Amino acid sequence: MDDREWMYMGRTSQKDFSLEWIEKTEAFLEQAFDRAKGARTTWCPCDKCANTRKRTKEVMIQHLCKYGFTADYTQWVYHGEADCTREEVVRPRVEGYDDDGGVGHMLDDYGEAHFGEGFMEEEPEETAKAYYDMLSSAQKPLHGDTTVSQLDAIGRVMALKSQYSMSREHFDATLTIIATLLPAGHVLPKNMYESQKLLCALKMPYEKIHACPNGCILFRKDYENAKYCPECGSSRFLEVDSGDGNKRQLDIPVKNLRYLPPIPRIQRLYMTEETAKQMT
Amino acid sequence: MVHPSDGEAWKHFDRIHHEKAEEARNVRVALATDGFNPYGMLAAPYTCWPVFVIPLNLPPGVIFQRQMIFLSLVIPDHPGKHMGVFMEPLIDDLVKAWEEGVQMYNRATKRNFKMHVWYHYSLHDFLA
Repeated sequence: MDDREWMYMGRTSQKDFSLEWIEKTEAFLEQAFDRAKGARTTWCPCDKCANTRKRTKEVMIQHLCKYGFTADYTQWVYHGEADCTREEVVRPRVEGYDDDGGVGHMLDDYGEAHFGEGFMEEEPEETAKAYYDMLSSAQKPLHGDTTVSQLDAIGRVMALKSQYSMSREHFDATLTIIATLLPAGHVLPKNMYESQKLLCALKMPYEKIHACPNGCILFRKDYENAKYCPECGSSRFLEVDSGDGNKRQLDIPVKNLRYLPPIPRIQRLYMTEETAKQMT
Repeated sequence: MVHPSDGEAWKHFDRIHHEKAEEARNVRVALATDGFNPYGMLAAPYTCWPVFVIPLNLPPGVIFQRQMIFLSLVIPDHPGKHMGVFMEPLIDDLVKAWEEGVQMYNRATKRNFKMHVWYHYSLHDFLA
Protein backbone atom coordinates (compact mmCIF):
# COMPACT_ATOMS: atom_id res chain seq x y z
CA MET A 1 0.00 0.00 0.00
CA ASP A 2 1.38 3.40 -0.89
CA ASP A 3 2.14 5.83 1.84
CA ARG A 4 -0.92 7.83 2.85
CA GLU A 5 0.81 10.41 5.04
CA TRP A 6 -0.08 13.13 2.54
CA MET A 7 -3.70 12.92 3.64
CA TYR A 8 -2.91 14.63 6.90
CA MET A 9 0.45 16.31 6.16
CA GLY A 10 -0.66 18.11 3.02
CA ARG A 11 -3.50 20.07 4.58
CA THR A 12 -2.71 22.18 7.62
CA SER A 13 -5.68 24.51 7.69
CA GLN A 14 -8.82 25.36 5.74
CA LYS A 15 -6.89 27.49 3.27
CA ASP A 16 -3.51 25.85 3.17
CA PHE A 17 -3.17 22.73 1.01
CA SER A 18 -0.09 21.42 -0.70
CA LEU A 19 -0.15 20.71 -4.42
CA GLU A 20 0.37 17.04 -3.63
CA TRP A 21 -2.72 16.99 -1.39
CA ILE A 22 -4.89 18.48 -4.12
CA GLU A 23 -3.65 16.05 -6.75
CA LYS A 24 -3.93 12.99 -4.61
CA THR A 25 -7.29 13.96 -3.19
CA GLU A 26 -8.57 14.33 -6.73
CA ALA A 27 -7.20 10.93 -7.59
CA PHE A 28 -8.87 9.53 -4.49
CA LEU A 29 -12.22 11.00 -5.49
CA GLU A 30 -11.87 9.58 -9.00
CA GLN A 31 -11.16 6.17 -7.61
CA ALA A 32 -13.89 6.35 -4.99
CA PHE A 33 -16.62 7.26 -7.48
CA ASP A 34 -15.21 4.80 -9.98
CA ARG A 35 -15.70 2.02 -7.50
CA ALA A 36 -19.10 3.30 -6.40
CA LYS A 37 -20.30 1.75 -9.69
CA GLY A 38 -22.27 4.61 -11.14
CA ALA A 39 -23.85 5.80 -7.89
CA ARG A 40 -23.95 9.59 -7.53
CA THR A 41 -23.11 9.53 -3.85
CA THR A 42 -20.71 7.58 -1.71
CA TRP A 43 -19.39 7.66 1.86
CA CYS A 44 -17.79 10.98 2.72
CA PRO A 45 -14.42 10.53 4.44
CA CYS A 46 -14.23 14.09 5.80
CA ASP A 47 -13.64 14.69 9.49
CA LYS A 48 -17.25 15.71 10.04
CA CYS A 49 -19.06 12.90 8.24
CA ALA A 50 -16.42 10.25 9.08
CA ASN A 51 -17.76 7.77 6.53
CA THR A 52 -21.21 7.74 8.04
CA ARG A 53 -23.01 9.83 5.39
CA LYS A 54 -23.18 9.60 1.64
CA ARG A 55 -22.35 12.72 -0.37
CA THR A 56 -22.05 13.72 -4.01
CA LYS A 57 -18.62 14.43 -5.42
CA GLU A 58 -19.10 18.22 -5.30
CA VAL A 59 -20.16 18.26 -1.68
CA MET A 60 -17.35 15.90 -0.79
CA ILE A 61 -14.75 18.21 -2.30
CA GLN A 62 -16.08 21.10 -0.22
CA HIS A 63 -16.10 18.94 2.91
CA LEU A 64 -12.56 17.68 2.39
CA CYS A 65 -11.23 21.18 1.88
CA LYS A 66 -13.12 22.48 4.87
CA TYR A 67 -12.67 19.65 7.37
CA GLY A 68 -9.90 17.47 5.97
CA PHE A 69 -9.84 13.68 6.10
CA THR A 70 -11.16 11.90 9.14
CA ALA A 71 -8.43 10.65 11.46
CA ASP A 72 -6.61 7.38 10.75
CA TYR A 73 -8.37 6.70 7.49
CA THR A 74 -5.36 5.43 5.59
CA GLN A 75 -7.00 2.17 4.59
CA TRP A 76 -9.83 3.23 2.31
CA VAL A 77 -12.15 0.43 3.27
CA TYR A 78 -15.27 2.47 2.52
CA HIS A 79 -14.01 3.24 -0.95
CA GLY A 80 -13.29 -0.10 -2.50
CA GLU A 81 -10.14 -1.12 -0.66
CA ALA A 82 -10.35 -4.47 1.03
CA ASP A 83 -9.56 -4.52 4.71
CA CYS A 84 -6.58 -6.78 4.29
CA THR A 85 -4.20 -5.80 7.08
CA ARG A 86 -4.99 -8.93 9.03
CA GLU A 87 -4.67 -11.13 5.98
CA GLU A 88 -1.18 -9.77 5.37
CA VAL A 89 0.02 -10.62 8.83
CA VAL A 90 -1.52 -14.00 8.64
CA ARG A 91 -0.48 -14.98 5.18
CA PRO A 92 3.14 -16.06 5.75
CA ARG A 93 1.88 -18.91 7.83
CA VAL A 94 -0.47 -20.25 5.24
CA GLU A 95 2.49 -21.24 3.07
CA GLY A 96 3.54 -23.79 5.63
CA TYR A 97 0.12 -25.32 5.47
CA ASP A 98 0.14 -28.54 3.52
CA ASP A 99 -3.13 -29.39 1.83
CA ASP A 100 -3.63 -32.86 3.05
CA GLY A 101 -0.59 -33.47 5.19
CA GLY A 102 -0.86 -37.20 4.60
CA VAL A 103 -3.99 -37.43 6.69
CA GLY A 104 -5.23 -40.16 4.39
CA HIS A 105 -2.27 -42.39 5.14
CA MET A 106 -2.48 -41.57 8.75
CA LEU A 107 -6.10 -42.65 8.88
CA ASP A 108 -5.26 -45.95 7.30
CA ASP A 109 -2.45 -46.51 9.79
CA TYR A 110 -4.68 -45.57 12.64
CA GLY A 111 -7.40 -47.87 11.43
CA GLU A 112 -4.98 -50.76 11.18
CA ALA A 113 -3.41 -50.09 14.50
CA HIS A 114 -6.60 -49.64 16.47
CA PHE A 115 -9.41 -51.43 14.75
CA GLY A 116 -7.52 -54.24 13.12
CA GLU A 117 -6.20 -56.02 16.19
CA GLY A 118 -7.59 -59.49 16.03
CA PHE A 119 -10.79 -60.59 14.33
CA MET A 120 -12.98 -60.40 17.42
CA GLU A 121 -13.37 -56.66 17.32
CA GLU A 122 -16.10 -54.83 15.51
CA GLU A 123 -15.93 -51.64 13.57
CA PRO A 124 -17.27 -48.84 15.69
CA GLU A 125 -20.70 -47.60 14.69
CA GLU A 126 -21.00 -44.49 12.61
CA THR A 127 -20.91 -41.61 15.07
CA ALA A 128 -18.12 -43.21 17.02
CA LYS A 129 -16.15 -43.75 13.86
CA ALA A 130 -16.48 -40.12 12.82
CA TYR A 131 -15.19 -39.13 16.20
CA TYR A 132 -12.17 -41.39 16.09
CA ASP A 133 -11.42 -40.33 12.55
CA MET A 134 -11.41 -36.75 13.62
CA LEU A 135 -9.18 -37.52 16.58
CA SER A 136 -6.67 -39.38 14.49
CA SER A 137 -6.52 -36.71 11.83
CA ALA A 138 -5.74 -34.10 14.43
CA GLN A 139 -3.06 -36.23 16.04
CA LYS A 140 -0.41 -34.95 13.67
CA PRO A 141 2.33 -33.08 15.49
CA LEU A 142 2.21 -29.30 15.44
CA HIS A 143 5.59 -29.13 13.73
CA GLY A 144 8.62 -31.31 13.13
CA ASP A 145 10.31 -31.16 16.54
CA THR A 146 7.52 -31.59 19.02
CA THR A 147 5.22 -34.20 20.44
CA VAL A 148 2.40 -31.74 20.97
CA SER A 149 -0.38 -32.54 18.55
CA GLN A 150 -2.36 -30.03 16.57
CA LEU A 151 -5.51 -30.79 18.50
CA ASP A 152 -3.75 -30.40 21.80
CA ALA A 153 -2.35 -27.04 20.79
CA ILE A 154 -5.71 -25.64 19.70
CA GLY A 155 -7.31 -27.02 22.81
CA ARG A 156 -4.92 -25.13 25.05
CA VAL A 157 -5.33 -21.81 23.26
CA MET A 158 -9.10 -22.24 23.16
CA ALA A 159 -9.11 -22.95 26.89
CA LEU A 160 -7.28 -19.67 27.46
CA LYS A 161 -9.78 -17.91 25.28
CA SER A 162 -12.71 -19.04 27.34
CA GLN A 163 -10.94 -18.59 30.66
CA TYR A 164 -10.14 -14.94 30.04
CA SER A 165 -13.03 -14.24 27.66
CA MET A 166 -10.76 -13.17 24.85
CA SER A 167 -12.42 -11.43 21.97
CA ARG A 168 -12.29 -13.03 18.59
CA GLU A 169 -9.78 -10.53 17.30
CA HIS A 170 -7.63 -10.94 20.36
CA PHE A 171 -7.67 -14.68 19.78
CA ASP A 172 -6.68 -14.32 16.13
CA ALA A 173 -3.88 -11.95 17.04
CA THR A 174 -2.59 -14.32 19.73
CA LEU A 175 -2.59 -17.17 17.24
CA THR A 176 -0.67 -15.03 14.80
CA ILE A 177 2.00 -14.29 17.39
CA ILE A 178 2.32 -17.91 18.43
CA ALA A 179 2.58 -18.83 14.78
CA THR A 180 5.49 -16.50 14.19
CA LEU A 181 7.33 -18.18 17.07
CA LEU A 182 6.86 -21.64 15.62
CA PRO A 183 9.22 -23.11 13.05
CA ALA A 184 8.14 -23.19 9.42
CA GLY A 185 5.85 -26.00 8.39
CA HIS A 186 3.71 -26.01 11.50
CA VAL A 187 0.01 -26.73 11.34
CA LEU A 188 -1.43 -24.34 13.88
CA PRO A 189 -4.69 -23.00 12.43
CA LYS A 190 -4.44 -19.38 11.43
CA ASN A 191 -7.58 -18.06 13.01
CA MET A 192 -10.59 -18.77 15.13
CA TYR A 193 -12.66 -19.98 12.19
CA GLU A 194 -10.19 -22.68 11.26
CA SER A 195 -9.69 -23.81 14.82
CA GLN A 196 -13.41 -24.18 15.24
CA LYS A 197 -13.63 -26.15 12.04
CA LEU A 198 -11.09 -28.60 13.44
CA LEU A 199 -12.79 -28.81 16.78
CA CYS A 200 -16.34 -29.13 15.52
CA ALA A 201 -16.24 -32.93 15.54
CA LEU A 202 -15.26 -32.78 19.19
CA LYS A 203 -18.10 -30.52 20.13
CA MET A 204 -21.36 -31.91 21.30
CA PRO A 205 -24.33 -30.86 19.21
CA TYR A 206 -27.04 -28.80 20.79
CA GLU A 207 -30.35 -27.44 19.62
CA LYS A 208 -32.18 -24.25 20.19
CA ILE A 209 -35.91 -24.76 20.36
CA HIS A 210 -38.23 -21.81 20.28
CA ALA A 211 -40.85 -21.83 23.00
CA CYS A 212 -44.16 -20.08 23.56
CA PRO A 213 -43.53 -17.14 25.89
CA ASN A 214 -46.24 -18.41 28.22
CA GLY A 215 -44.81 -21.92 28.19
CA CYS A 216 -47.81 -23.60 26.52
CA ILE A 217 -45.91 -25.45 23.80
CA LEU A 218 -42.55 -25.78 22.11
CA PHE A 219 -42.28 -24.96 18.44
CA ARG A 220 -41.19 -28.40 17.35
CA LYS A 221 -42.72 -31.36 15.56
CA ASP A 222 -46.26 -30.30 14.54
CA TYR A 223 -45.70 -26.66 15.39
CA GLU A 224 -42.31 -26.39 13.76
CA ASN A 225 -43.40 -23.70 11.31
CA ALA A 226 -46.12 -22.04 13.38
CA LYS A 227 -45.72 -18.36 13.98
CA TYR A 228 -48.15 -18.00 16.84
CA CYS A 229 -48.80 -20.27 19.79
CA PRO A 230 -51.84 -22.45 18.93
CA GLU A 231 -52.95 -22.44 22.59
CA CYS A 232 -52.64 -18.86 23.77
CA GLY A 233 -52.04 -17.05 20.47
CA SER A 234 -48.94 -15.20 21.59
CA SER A 235 -46.25 -14.51 19.05
CA ARG A 236 -43.28 -16.78 18.60
CA PHE A 237 -41.04 -13.91 17.51
CA LEU A 238 -40.47 -10.39 18.74
CA GLU A 239 -42.92 -7.94 17.25
CA VAL A 240 -42.42 -4.36 16.20
CA ASP A 241 -44.76 -1.70 14.85
CA SER A 242 -44.64 -1.75 11.08
CA GLY A 243 -45.90 1.84 10.89
CA ASP A 244 -49.40 1.18 9.57
CA GLY A 245 -50.80 0.18 12.93
CA ASN A 246 -50.10 -3.50 12.42
CA LYS A 247 -47.36 -5.54 13.98
CA ARG A 248 -44.54 -7.12 12.08
CA GLN A 249 -42.66 -10.17 13.30
CA LEU A 250 -38.89 -10.06 13.42
CA ASP A 251 -36.97 -13.29 13.22
CA ILE A 252 -35.82 -13.09 16.83
CA PRO A 253 -37.59 -15.65 19.01
CA VAL A 254 -39.16 -14.45 22.24
CA LYS A 255 -38.13 -17.50 24.21
CA ASN A 256 -35.39 -19.92 23.38
CA LEU A 257 -34.98 -23.29 25.03
CA ARG A 258 -31.55 -24.82 24.75
CA TYR A 259 -31.46 -28.58 24.54
CA LEU A 260 -28.23 -30.54 24.81
CA PRO A 261 -29.09 -34.16 24.00
CA PRO A 262 -27.70 -36.44 26.74
CA ILE A 263 -27.59 -39.62 24.64
CA PRO A 264 -24.58 -38.59 22.51
CA ARG A 265 -22.86 -37.58 25.71
CA ILE A 266 -23.38 -40.99 27.22
CA GLN A 267 -22.14 -42.43 23.93
CA ARG A 268 -19.02 -40.36 24.38
CA LEU A 269 -18.53 -41.86 27.83
CA TYR A 270 -18.43 -45.30 26.25
CA MET A 271 -16.07 -44.13 23.55
CA THR A 272 -13.35 -43.33 26.03
CA GLU A 273 -11.69 -46.40 27.37
CA GLU A 274 -11.38 -45.27 30.95
CA THR A 275 -14.97 -44.22 31.45
CA ALA A 276 -16.23 -47.16 29.40
CA LYS A 277 -14.71 -49.49 31.99
CA GLN A 278 -16.23 -47.50 34.80
CA MET A 279 -19.66 -47.52 33.24
CA THR A 280 -20.12 -51.28 33.47
CA MET B 1 -25.34 -46.01 51.36
CA VAL B 2 -22.48 -45.03 49.10
CA HIS B 3 -24.16 -45.35 45.73
CA PRO B 4 -27.74 -45.16 44.39
CA SER B 5 -27.49 -48.90 43.60
CA ASP B 6 -27.74 -49.60 47.31
CA GLY B 7 -31.14 -47.94 47.35
CA GLU B 8 -34.48 -49.70 47.35
CA ALA B 9 -35.55 -48.01 44.10
CA TRP B 10 -32.67 -49.58 42.23
CA LYS B 11 -33.44 -53.05 43.54
CA HIS B 12 -37.12 -52.65 42.82
CA PHE B 13 -36.35 -51.79 39.22
CA ASP B 14 -34.15 -54.86 38.93
CA ARG B 15 -37.12 -56.97 39.94
CA ILE B 16 -39.69 -55.55 37.55
CA HIS B 17 -37.45 -55.04 34.48
CA HIS B 18 -35.31 -58.04 34.98
CA GLU B 19 -34.11 -58.29 31.39
CA LYS B 20 -32.90 -54.78 30.91
CA ALA B 21 -31.44 -54.52 34.38
CA GLU B 22 -29.26 -57.54 33.82
CA GLU B 23 -27.31 -55.90 31.03
CA ALA B 24 -24.77 -53.89 32.99
CA ARG B 25 -24.07 -51.57 30.10
CA ASN B 26 -27.56 -50.14 30.10
CA VAL B 27 -27.57 -46.75 31.65
CA ARG B 28 -29.71 -45.44 34.45
CA VAL B 29 -29.95 -41.71 34.63
CA ALA B 30 -31.08 -39.30 37.27
CA LEU B 31 -32.43 -35.86 36.51
CA ALA B 32 -31.82 -32.83 38.64
CA THR B 33 -33.09 -29.31 38.25
CA ASP B 34 -33.40 -26.09 40.14
CA GLY B 35 -33.82 -22.44 39.28
CA PHE B 36 -30.92 -20.07 39.50
CA ASN B 37 -30.11 -16.50 38.66
CA PRO B 38 -26.89 -16.00 36.74
CA TYR B 39 -26.83 -12.33 37.76
CA GLY B 40 -27.44 -12.53 41.47
CA MET B 41 -30.39 -13.56 43.58
CA LEU B 42 -32.54 -10.55 42.85
CA ALA B 43 -32.20 -10.45 39.10
CA ALA B 44 -35.53 -12.21 38.59
CA PRO B 45 -35.87 -11.54 34.83
CA TYR B 46 -32.81 -13.66 34.18
CA THR B 47 -33.93 -16.72 36.09
CA CYS B 48 -33.25 -19.93 34.28
CA TRP B 49 -33.70 -23.58 35.07
CA PRO B 50 -30.90 -25.87 34.02
CA VAL B 51 -31.76 -29.57 33.89
CA PHE B 52 -28.97 -32.03 34.51
CA VAL B 53 -28.67 -35.65 33.49
CA ILE B 54 -26.50 -37.87 35.65
CA PRO B 55 -25.59 -41.38 34.49
CA LEU B 56 -25.79 -43.56 37.59
CA ASN B 57 -23.66 -46.40 36.27
CA LEU B 58 -20.45 -44.79 37.32
CA PRO B 59 -18.65 -45.95 40.44
CA PRO B 60 -19.21 -44.04 43.69
CA GLY B 61 -16.08 -41.88 43.52
CA VAL B 62 -16.78 -40.67 40.02
CA ILE B 63 -20.53 -40.45 39.83
CA PHE B 64 -21.07 -36.95 41.14
CA GLN B 65 -17.93 -35.42 39.72
CA ARG B 66 -18.59 -32.28 37.80
CA GLN B 67 -17.45 -33.56 34.41
CA MET B 68 -19.77 -36.55 34.62
CA ILE B 69 -22.92 -34.53 35.12
CA PHE B 70 -24.39 -33.42 31.82
CA LEU B 71 -26.23 -30.20 31.39
CA SER B 72 -29.12 -31.11 29.19
CA LEU B 73 -31.62 -28.26 29.08
CA VAL B 74 -31.49 -24.59 29.82
CA ILE B 75 -35.02 -23.39 30.37
CA PRO B 76 -35.34 -19.64 30.18
CA ASP B 77 -37.49 -18.04 32.83
CA HIS B 78 -39.39 -19.83 35.56
CA PRO B 79 -41.19 -22.78 33.94
CA GLY B 80 -43.74 -23.09 36.74
CA LYS B 81 -46.45 -25.61 35.92
CA HIS B 82 -45.22 -25.87 32.31
CA MET B 83 -42.13 -27.83 33.30
CA GLY B 84 -43.41 -30.80 31.32
CA VAL B 85 -43.57 -28.78 28.12
CA PHE B 86 -39.97 -27.76 28.38
CA MET B 87 -38.81 -31.25 29.29
CA GLU B 88 -40.41 -32.65 26.12
CA PRO B 89 -37.29 -32.99 23.95
CA LEU B 90 -35.36 -34.67 26.74
CA ILE B 91 -38.19 -37.01 27.63
CA ASP B 92 -38.70 -37.91 23.95
CA ASP B 93 -35.07 -38.90 23.68
CA LEU B 94 -35.15 -40.90 26.87
CA VAL B 95 -38.32 -42.71 25.87
CA LYS B 96 -36.79 -43.59 22.52
CA ALA B 97 -33.62 -44.82 24.19
CA TRP B 98 -35.71 -46.94 26.54
CA GLU B 99 -37.92 -48.50 23.92
CA GLU B 100 -35.63 -48.90 20.93
CA GLY B 101 -32.18 -48.55 22.39
CA VAL B 102 -29.24 -46.73 20.84
CA GLN B 103 -26.31 -48.21 18.97
CA MET B 104 -23.17 -47.71 20.99
CA TYR B 105 -19.54 -48.52 20.61
CA ASN B 106 -17.70 -49.66 23.68
CA ARG B 107 -14.08 -48.69 23.58
CA ALA B 108 -13.01 -50.94 26.42
CA THR B 109 -14.27 -54.14 24.81
CA LYS B 110 -14.23 -52.80 21.24
CA ARG B 111 -17.75 -54.00 20.55
CA ASN B 112 -20.91 -52.34 19.40
CA PHE B 113 -23.97 -52.86 21.49
CA LYS B 114 -27.49 -51.59 21.87
CA MET B 115 -27.90 -49.45 24.90
CA HIS B 116 -31.13 -48.80 26.74
CA VAL B 117 -31.47 -45.84 28.98
CA TRP B 118 -33.97 -45.31 31.69
CA TYR B 119 -34.88 -42.62 34.06
CA HIS B 120 -34.16 -43.70 37.56
CA TYR B 121 -35.22 -40.80 39.70
CA SER B 122 -34.79 -37.10 40.01
CA LEU B 123 -33.33 -34.76 42.55
CA HIS B 124 -35.27 -31.60 43.19
CA ASP B 125 -35.71 -28.81 45.57
CA PHE B 126 -39.46 -28.56 45.86
CA LEU B 127 -41.21 -25.79 47.67
CA ALA B 128 -42.07 -26.75 51.19
